[in-house]
Amino acid sequence: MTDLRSYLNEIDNAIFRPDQPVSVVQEITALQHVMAAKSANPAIFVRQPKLADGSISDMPVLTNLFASRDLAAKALGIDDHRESAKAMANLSASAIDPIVVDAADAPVREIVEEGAAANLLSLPALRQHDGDAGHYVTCGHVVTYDPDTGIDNMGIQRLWVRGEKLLGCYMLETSHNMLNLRKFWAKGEPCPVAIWVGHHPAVEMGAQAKLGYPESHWDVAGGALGEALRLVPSITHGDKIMVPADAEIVIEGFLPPNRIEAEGPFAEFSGYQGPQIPNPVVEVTCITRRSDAIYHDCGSGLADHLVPDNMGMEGAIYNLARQVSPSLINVHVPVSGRRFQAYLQFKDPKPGEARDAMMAAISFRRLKAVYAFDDDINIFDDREAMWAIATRVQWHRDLMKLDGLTLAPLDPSAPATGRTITKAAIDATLPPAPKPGQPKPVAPRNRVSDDALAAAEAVLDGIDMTGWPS
Amino acid sequence: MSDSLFDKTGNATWAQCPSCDYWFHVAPALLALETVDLICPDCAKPFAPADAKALIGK
Repeated sequence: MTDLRSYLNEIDNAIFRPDQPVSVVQEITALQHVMAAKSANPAIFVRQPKLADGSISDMPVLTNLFASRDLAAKALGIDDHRESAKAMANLSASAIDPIVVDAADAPVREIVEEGAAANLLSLPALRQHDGDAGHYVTCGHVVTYDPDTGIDNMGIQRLWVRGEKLLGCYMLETSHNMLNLRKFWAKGEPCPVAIWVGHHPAVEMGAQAKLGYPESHWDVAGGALGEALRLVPSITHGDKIMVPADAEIVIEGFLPPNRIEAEGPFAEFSGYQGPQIPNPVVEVTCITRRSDAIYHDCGSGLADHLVPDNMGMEGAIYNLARQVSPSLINVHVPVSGRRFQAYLQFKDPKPGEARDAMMAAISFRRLKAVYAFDDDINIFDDREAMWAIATRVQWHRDLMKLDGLTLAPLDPSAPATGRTITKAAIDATLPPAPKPGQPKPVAPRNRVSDDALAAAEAVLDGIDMTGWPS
Repeated sequence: MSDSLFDKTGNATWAQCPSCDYWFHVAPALLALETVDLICPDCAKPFAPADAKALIGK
């Protein structure tokens, strides 16, 4: 059995476990901010989460699980995180069908709280940032299904804990879960929903794969895990909505028809607060969990939040651009650009090919800008990317602006009116060599020899550089 | 409002709670519904958009 706790055992040395109580009201998230500022990205396991009323929760909080790109890649079986674009692009090809297990063999069924016993306030949900509307379930995988086909969908959506049995649920208008909800509501019916929290990170990342509609995520999540995902029918919805048997927590309920209420504000992935907006609510019918459940939180707007989704974007963008550009060798969606920018890397692109690839990539809805680089630029180092832009781009020639494209959701700089934006593509590749084997018709970059580099490494070997001026 | 494409005019709409005076960020789409109460993130008071102590940017 592969689950969250088996993974935590694997990365035991990469987990920070504070001994003292840490408040779910901003303090746990503040730990993430402080660590990020120091470029430290361990998972954080809080044994004693202090609740808003000052009591200590019996349920530990795990957060920052995805903050390290290196760890996130390894969870997927990718040795080098820089290879994640190709690996994520092929996730669908390695899909493994899920299997159904008996409820008695489902750890997530060890505790079942139905009806009056179901209480969301028993979860140590965090109030992460100043100005957030309240405590949010941030790593809840929301599962609905298409009533026409019965095919389920899954996506992480922010969930505001508004009471013992009420959640505000952010659903992007274009999301597949919203399409399902609209179909139920058009019939005047509540939309069934189940929300699972906590599993092996490969399952969570596979579940975020960018798929068509309607298309189930379970087999892709199983492929990411490398084994069939064990599912069990939900208590409330039976086999119409299955849930992972090895999850930590499952929340079940309905989205009642046409019940729209205020939801938010909430500090979002952009690094800015998302506004209070109209959204549906979930009326909770049942909560099931392990007897020693771990509550998995995700630090919104931090690398913890961005890394797994950005890696999924890299796979989707690679697939889009690679169709028109065989010289495309890699894609990076850097945390510094949130989800608005992508770096494309090429090996000897033919004239026009980098532009073709950027045109394909820019169609990805969330992106506002794409950049093309050569293979001598480390696209995982923003300093090198900026150096290439500064030294290889002539704006009259290398900047393309495209008007009237789809709006990137939650872009804090989006125009107040209008439904489309202008996107940009910047070609920072060098001109090609006149003939193979000849130098490119540009100034060579500064370098020292490999021997000199090795000698310098030897001089510095074993020297503690901490405390040196930065 | 300027009609220049190049003027930075901002895009955020703010509401002020009539109970505790807290300012918070609201979407125009929520204000446009009119029948859906805003909820103050600070004191949790629900109130109709028309009852906001102040609105900026609407």
